[in-house]
Amino acid sequence: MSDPTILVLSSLADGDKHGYAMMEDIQSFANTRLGPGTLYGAITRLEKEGWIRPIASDDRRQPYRLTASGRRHLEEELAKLNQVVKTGRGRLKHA
Amino acid sequence: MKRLVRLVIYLYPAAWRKRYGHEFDALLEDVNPRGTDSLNVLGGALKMQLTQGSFWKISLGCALVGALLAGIWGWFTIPDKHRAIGVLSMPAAASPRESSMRVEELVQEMFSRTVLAELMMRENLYTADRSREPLEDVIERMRTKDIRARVLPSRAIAIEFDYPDASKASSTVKSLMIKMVEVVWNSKQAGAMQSKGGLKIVSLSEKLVAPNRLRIACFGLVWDCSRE
Repeated sequence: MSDPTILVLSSLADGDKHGYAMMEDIQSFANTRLGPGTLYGAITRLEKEGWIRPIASDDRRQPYRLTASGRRHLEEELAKLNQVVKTGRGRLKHA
Repeated sequence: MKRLVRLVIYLYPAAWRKRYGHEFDALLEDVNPRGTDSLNVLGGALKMQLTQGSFWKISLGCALVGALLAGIWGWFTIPDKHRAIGVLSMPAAASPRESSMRVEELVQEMFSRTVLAELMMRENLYTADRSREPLEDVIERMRTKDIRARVLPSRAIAIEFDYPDASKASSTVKSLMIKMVEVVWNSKQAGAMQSKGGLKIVSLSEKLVAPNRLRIACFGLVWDCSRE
């Protein structure tokens, strides 16, 4: 699993996070280290799509929040992924 | 490393930097970037330029990457060249014309197909080239590009040979000089040269002639720009 978009959305699914917290979180749950360029590429794209939004902060670090449409998109993507996982597992059992 | 990554941020589109620059900088403060991060940020900048940036910046980014890759490619793949230089002294000739004519004849004989082919086999030169190309082509390239002779003002002949292997370059020039001395000594037409003691080997030296890697990088830059 290396799609940065899904990784960032999944990271924000349990609460607001800034860039570095997302990197750490993704590293821990997906064992994938997103480079700074990749992370901010994904953040830019997700914000443009309206799936995440920045929230007010006094810190230089900018936290982001998952929007309702972002949550729906993540659910759809995970369902698709789940289908692939189920199919793959099923076929492995019968092979 | 942080400083390098911060420089790369300037390759992002200005509008992007205005919106995300501040927080991206804060992220870099926390991350403590590695070597691969600078490439990752460079890749991110190019991608952002392609989707949001202006055309000239894309060209500049691609050109810089092209030049960098060409430089790295040149650095690692183009072999160093060693130049062996042998100097032979000539006895005084009756006239400068006689001297230069004799040298010309000698060089022609030394750089003939037979002599160069024999040298190539004996010194085991150009093995990879010989397996790919006809021997005639390899000899021609050796004669026109890698080996040369010139008359020095101090009545001496310098033989130069460029080759990636230093010891083979030196040994080839040494063999050529010995052959030259023998040819002059045995030649019936050597005339004055022979009677005055023939040719004498004065010196044999070798130096590294590195490929011009800066030129390769510039070529990569120009080539990349012309593709845009």
